[in-house]
Amino acid sequence: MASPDDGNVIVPDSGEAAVKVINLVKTFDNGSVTALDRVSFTVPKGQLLVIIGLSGSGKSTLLRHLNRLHLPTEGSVEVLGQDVPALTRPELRILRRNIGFVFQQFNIVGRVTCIENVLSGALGRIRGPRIGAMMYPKWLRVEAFEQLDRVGLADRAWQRTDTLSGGQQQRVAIARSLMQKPKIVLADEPVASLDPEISGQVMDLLVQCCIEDEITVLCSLHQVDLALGWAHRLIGLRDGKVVLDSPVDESLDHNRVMDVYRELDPTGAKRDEYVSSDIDPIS
Amino acid sequence: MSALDTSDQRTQRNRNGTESDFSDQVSRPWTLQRAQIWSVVVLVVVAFVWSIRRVGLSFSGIAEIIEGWPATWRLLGRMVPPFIPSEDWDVVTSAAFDTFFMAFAGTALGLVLGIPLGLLSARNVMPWAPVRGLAKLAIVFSRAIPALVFAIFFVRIYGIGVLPGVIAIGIHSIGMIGKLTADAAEDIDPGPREGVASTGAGPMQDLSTGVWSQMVPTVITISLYRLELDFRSAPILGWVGAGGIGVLLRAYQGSLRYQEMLGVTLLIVVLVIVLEALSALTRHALLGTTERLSGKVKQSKSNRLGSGLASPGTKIADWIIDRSKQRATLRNQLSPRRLTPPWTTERVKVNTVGLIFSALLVLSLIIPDIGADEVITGSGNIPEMLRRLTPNDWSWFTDRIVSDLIDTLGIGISATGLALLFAIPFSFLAASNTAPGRFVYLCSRSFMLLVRCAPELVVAVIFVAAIGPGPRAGSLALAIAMFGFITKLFADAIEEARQGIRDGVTSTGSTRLQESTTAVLPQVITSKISNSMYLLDVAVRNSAVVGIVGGGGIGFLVINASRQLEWETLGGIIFCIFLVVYAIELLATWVRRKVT
Repeated sequence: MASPDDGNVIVPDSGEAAVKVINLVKTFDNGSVTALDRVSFTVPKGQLLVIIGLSGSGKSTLLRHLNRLHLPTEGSVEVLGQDVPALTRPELRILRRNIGFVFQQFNIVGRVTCIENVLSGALGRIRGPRIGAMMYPKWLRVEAFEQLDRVGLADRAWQRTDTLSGGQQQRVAIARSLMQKPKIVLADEPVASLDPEISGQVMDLLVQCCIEDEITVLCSLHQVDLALGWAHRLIGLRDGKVVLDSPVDESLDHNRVMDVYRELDPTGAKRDEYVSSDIDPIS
Repeated sequence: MSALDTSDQRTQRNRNGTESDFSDQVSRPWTLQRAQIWSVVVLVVVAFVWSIRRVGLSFSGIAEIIEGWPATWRLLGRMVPPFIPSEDWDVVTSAAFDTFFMAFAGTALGLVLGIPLGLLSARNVMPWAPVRGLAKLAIVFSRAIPALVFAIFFVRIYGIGVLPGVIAIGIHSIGMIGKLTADAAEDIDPGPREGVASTGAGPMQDLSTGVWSQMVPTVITISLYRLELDFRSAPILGWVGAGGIGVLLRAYQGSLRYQEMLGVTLLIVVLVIVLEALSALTRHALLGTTERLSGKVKQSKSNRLGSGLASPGTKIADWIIDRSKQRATLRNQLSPRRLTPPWTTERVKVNTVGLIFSALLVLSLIIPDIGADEVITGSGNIPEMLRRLTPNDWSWFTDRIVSDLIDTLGIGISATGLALLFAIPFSFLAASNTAPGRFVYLCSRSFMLLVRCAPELVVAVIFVAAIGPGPRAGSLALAIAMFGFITKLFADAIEEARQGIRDGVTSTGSTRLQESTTAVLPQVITSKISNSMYLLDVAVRNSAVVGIVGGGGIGFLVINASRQLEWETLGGIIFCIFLVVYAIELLATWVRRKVT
């Protein structure tokens, strides 16, 4: 059991907020399913925030609101000082350029080269469509190499991405996000489809790069121990509600964190439902 | 509690063997789905019986072949030995080249027009429904009208020559290319698109990086497949004056020089076989690498898992040190040269194929001698022609059209039925995993490929000469062509059947035939039904064409209206063909969706 005892907890400068979510409500299927229920929180710049919760508790939905892959049903979402739902399409593209997104399923194009996937992170900075790595200007290719090097894959640049292992593919995806020169990185269970050993490596890499570039990170995770190792702050979601919001320090009890995952329904009527939905992709 | 009791008693009784409560359950219950399936089966049988009677055949078609055998034999006798007179060689070779380049340029035109149309009709690419609808309409229309009918129309506009052939092939190809492109676009993984969208990419960037890069292999497959089909249909277009080797075929047939006719036919068959082999090679060069690579991935994955079990793996700290070392070496490698992809064998291969294809494309515009002025003056007439084709009233509509359309349907359905009757058993002989022996397999495969390469219109000509003009000849000729077409699809599907299931059945002590019916057939039945419906779709479309050489159906009226310059009639008939073919296509897709 890991405890938040290490001294590497950096208190972020309490400057302006990078993300401000107020009373966010999201329902699907005409209101029959509530994915997010009045969620509110503020993330200062430079903070490393981890969101934990069962599968289906709304973690992904929450993250996807921040770069408008979803639109809120109610409430406001403010990212980098901008009202996300109200943005016009050009404004949205500029915002998205400033937000890197790392997906659980990597979401890279498997059949093109690694460098081309990384280069696609620069699409928001250039105009017009691109087919093939050679259609990107040379200075961008140099930059892409540097980002690939940061994730330790510069030697794989011209290799097809689907020939890489899962951990390597996720590192390519991280390089693509870094290529955007983002101010915020959203990571949606970035290591959920990797084995524990590789998970640790990928998370360390992501965090290290983000600290180097002073990037705010919002990351959803299942591995509580992994989260306690480096997060500044934990938010716990259950059934779309915030049930835990605490800085990671000595006062944070491990049991309190695990309660987010625990069955709290005294009648046990919903037990089966929880068991069946709690399929951890790690195992 | 009581329910538990009774079920206990029931099992008790059954075990004792005194009484069985299952007797009422041993036959399969009638569900709605089962009723639907059986009513469809009955309908299919009724349609087949009707179509056979309509075209005037016996149920196997064998009686007609026996009856027409003496005449066919005499005709074949006049055809052998096939030969091409030496003074005609120049004409024949240049016509063969023309045909080749006509097909090539036509396919290229089809790709240029069809891929954008396909993307416009894909739900996940074009959010605006009216645009999608228009694109779909264009695709459906060009698919429904046979290339030969387009050729008749464009020969009137551009005059006799290769140009109308190129355009006819191009316009007809739009349909299939567009439809398959749309399917490919709708099938892509949405994940990478989200990845691209969240980098702040615009819509065109999303299309190129998120959509197109995933579609490339499918588009290559589609292009090569279409090219093969066009190589097959191009030799026939000359029959109506659209240039190439078909012109000679027509001339020889017209002057009853059957030996020369067979000579040219064989030349076409050889050409088609060679081109098919080239296309297979190209596909292998471009896409075969993918298979090998994915095989490698599997291997490396298992290696990784294996090594993970053996050693605890590197610690992150070591790894970061490693990385800084790598960075030092990388700085040396970061020469400008590294910023371009290295010339791996694969890249050389892909670029060579690309170069060859571009060269062929340029040649196909030069060799058949298509003049720009020809294109421009001809194209100027198109609006006028379209105006003339649009009927002002119903005066063109006659009972003959209705009865010929029904004949056409009959030819299509009966040809499909006959082809299936022979193809289903034969496909098991032509699949490597079910054939009784290597020899039988090779013989069946070669026979199948030979049948596939014979142009159906030429087969139709032979049948018309042998058993007289009419839907009977058309139906038999089409059945043979469809047999070659469907056997390949069936045999390929059988070869993909999973060996494990077959082993399971074999290990119960079954015979070979039992194993085929129990283990293989259920695995391939859905793909067989789906392919059969596709076959019906293709057969009905082609049945509109056999009439051009006297094989019955609407084709005769098409060529007649065109000869007598009855434009309104021609336009009306084309519209009718469209309706019938489209209706069949809708039916076919509906059934295919139901079974898969």
